Amino acid sequence: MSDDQQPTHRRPMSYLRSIRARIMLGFLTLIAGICLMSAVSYSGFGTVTKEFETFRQLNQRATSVLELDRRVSEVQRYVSIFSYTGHDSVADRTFAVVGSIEEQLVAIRSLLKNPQDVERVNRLDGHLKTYRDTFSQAYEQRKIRKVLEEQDYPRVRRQVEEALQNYRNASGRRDRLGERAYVEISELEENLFSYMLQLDAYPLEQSLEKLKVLQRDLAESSRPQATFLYQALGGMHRLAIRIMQATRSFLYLTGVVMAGEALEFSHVSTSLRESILAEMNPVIALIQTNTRQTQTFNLVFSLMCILFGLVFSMAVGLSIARPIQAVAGTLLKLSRGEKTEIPGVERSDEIGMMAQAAGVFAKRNEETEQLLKRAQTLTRELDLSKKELERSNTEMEQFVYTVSHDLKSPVVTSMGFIGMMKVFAEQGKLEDALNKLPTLEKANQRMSELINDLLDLSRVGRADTEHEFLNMDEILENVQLHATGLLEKYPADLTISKNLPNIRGNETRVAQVFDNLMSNALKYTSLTPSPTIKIGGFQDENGTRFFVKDNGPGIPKRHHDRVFGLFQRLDVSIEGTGIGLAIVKKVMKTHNGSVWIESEGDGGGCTFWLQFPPYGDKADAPPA
Amino acid sequence: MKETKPKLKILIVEDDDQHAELIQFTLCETSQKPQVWRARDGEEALSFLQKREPFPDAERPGLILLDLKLPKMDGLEVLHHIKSSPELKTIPVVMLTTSASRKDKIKAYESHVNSYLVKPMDFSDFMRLAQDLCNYWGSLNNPLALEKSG
Repeated sequence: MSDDQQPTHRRPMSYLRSIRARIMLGFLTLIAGICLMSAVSYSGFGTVTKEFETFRQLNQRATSVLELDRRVSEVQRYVSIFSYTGHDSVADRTFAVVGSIEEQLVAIRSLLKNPQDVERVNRLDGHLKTYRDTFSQAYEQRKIRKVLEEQDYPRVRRQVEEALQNYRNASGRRDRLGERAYVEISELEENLFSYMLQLDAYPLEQSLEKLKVLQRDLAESSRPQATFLYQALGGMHRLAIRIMQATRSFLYLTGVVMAGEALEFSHVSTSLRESILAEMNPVIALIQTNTRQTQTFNLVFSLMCILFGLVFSMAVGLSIARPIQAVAGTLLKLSRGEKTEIPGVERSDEIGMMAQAAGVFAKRNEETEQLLKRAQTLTRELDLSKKELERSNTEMEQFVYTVSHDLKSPVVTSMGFIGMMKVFAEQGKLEDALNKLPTLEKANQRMSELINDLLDLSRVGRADTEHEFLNMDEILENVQLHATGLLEKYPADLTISKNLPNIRGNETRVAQVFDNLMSNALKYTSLTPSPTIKIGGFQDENGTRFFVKDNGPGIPKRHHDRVFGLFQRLDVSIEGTGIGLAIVKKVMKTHNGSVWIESEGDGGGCTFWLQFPPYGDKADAPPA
Repeated sequence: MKETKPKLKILIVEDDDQHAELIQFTLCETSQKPQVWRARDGEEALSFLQKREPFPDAERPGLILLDLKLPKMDGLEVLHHIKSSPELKTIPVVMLTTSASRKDKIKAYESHVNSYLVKPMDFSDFMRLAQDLCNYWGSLNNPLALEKSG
């Protein structure tokens, strides 16, 4: 029993193969896949970020170089402004910008790794230095010119004015030479300023030529005023030449040398920028390639992960769901009370446990079914008992009714006859009164017989339950002996077979059965000429049979059942209580046997058949 | 007066000889002193009523006293035959039996019995019963008497 009670403990559950473990494994694999995908994406983005940083640095360098170009043009603009105005502030600003460009160059150089580019920056540096030196010289020249222009020239101009004034005062207003000197001085002055602004040398040179001619003409004059003017004009001529020279060198420095340097600077910086851009291109391409690669790899890896996850989860799911479905189906069948094989008992996981539990349930089901069947059988038996009880109750009612009726009858007779006797006695008819006495006695005797027979009937099957081996030859001999008195009253040809089969039963009752049947036969054949009675018996596979056969009037078929009822008599003229056959029937019933009649009732005689069960059914083997 | 009044004729259907004798005696002791016939069982009673053999000259009774328990054909069966016959159904039938069972009473009245009486144990009761029977049925329901008077 202990084996049946603990089937689940016989096979310890393997933790690794359990469904829980499988589900956990599934989730872990999923998480691992997600982690792997994240790692791949992260590394891909890391590479791209690094490339992008490089790109950013390169871009910064390119921007710086562009900034250089912009600064240089700014400087050029300042220089041209300075060349016209000659303001010191503009020169200072120019120097400051150049200084900042130099600083920027240093910064750029520190960023560069390509030696060509470093070389280019060095060249830029060189050009810038030259440019600055040149500008310093130009600045000096500009300053010189400024001095000439603002200090020397007004003085010379005043001397010439003075000399011309003297000359013209001396020689008169009408002097042609003086007039010419005036015009030509004005012209020269005009052309000189024009030159300083436009650098148009020709008109100035023409004026200078004219001034020379004028000087020569003045030299021919011997007047002191003329000589004085001549000298003044000579001074003016020299100053103009000097101004022209200073302007020329300044403009040469700014317009040729510095512009050349700026151009050269711009050219180098352009080539530097191009070099940097050329360096950037592969980085951009690399970034693009890396990004695309990362993208593709992520896509492929994700697809692979999804595919693997799908296959894996399906495999795990099916491996869990299939046996669960099988067990669920089995449980459903069991719940419907069907008998079924329980799958998966051999498994070592939860399914196995469930299957084993289902097995226990199935066994319980069977037990319950058996219990139900037993209960049904018991109920059926109970029903039968109840019916038997009801039948017995009805029988009892019938019995009481019949008995009360048939017992009342002799009482009515007795009382009635006593009353009659009284009447006769009153009337003085003593003879008549006395004549009623035998009837009265008979009625009382009958009542006594009835009571005895009823007591007898009630005793059948109650007082005598002992069944024993019966020698039927002996019993029938005794029956015959007992009936001697009756045989004398109703003489008949009585034949009893010898070597009758033996049975098991209650001796007194079996004897009573044969006694009653024989008495009946004797009584009912009393009116038949040459009455004959035969008693015999035989044995077959159904049991033992006896018969009591007479040649009397017989019993019509419709009365065959009735005659076994209490107080049922076919012929009231024949003596009897109507209890004898009821006793026969009851005795046969208590012996598990039966009794029936074979007769047509048209005077063809009557046979009572008795059937006893075969040996072994209710009987012990006969003694050896 | 007595001679003009016709005699009440009664058929007793009774299997028990002693009971039949007792009933006969008590009836004869009444003032009416009716004429009485006796049948031993149901079949005999019907033969008598239908004037069949062995009673071809039987007279029509003015009252039938019927026992319930009879051999061959019981009282209820006889009653049913009488009450379903157009010629016989006007004859009053009184059940006279030892059975005081309610069931029997109901069955008898269902079969249209005119009265149901239980045989009394006491003799004086029996005498009174016989007198009452004769008084009642003799005066009220005697077709012969009606015929004569009409």
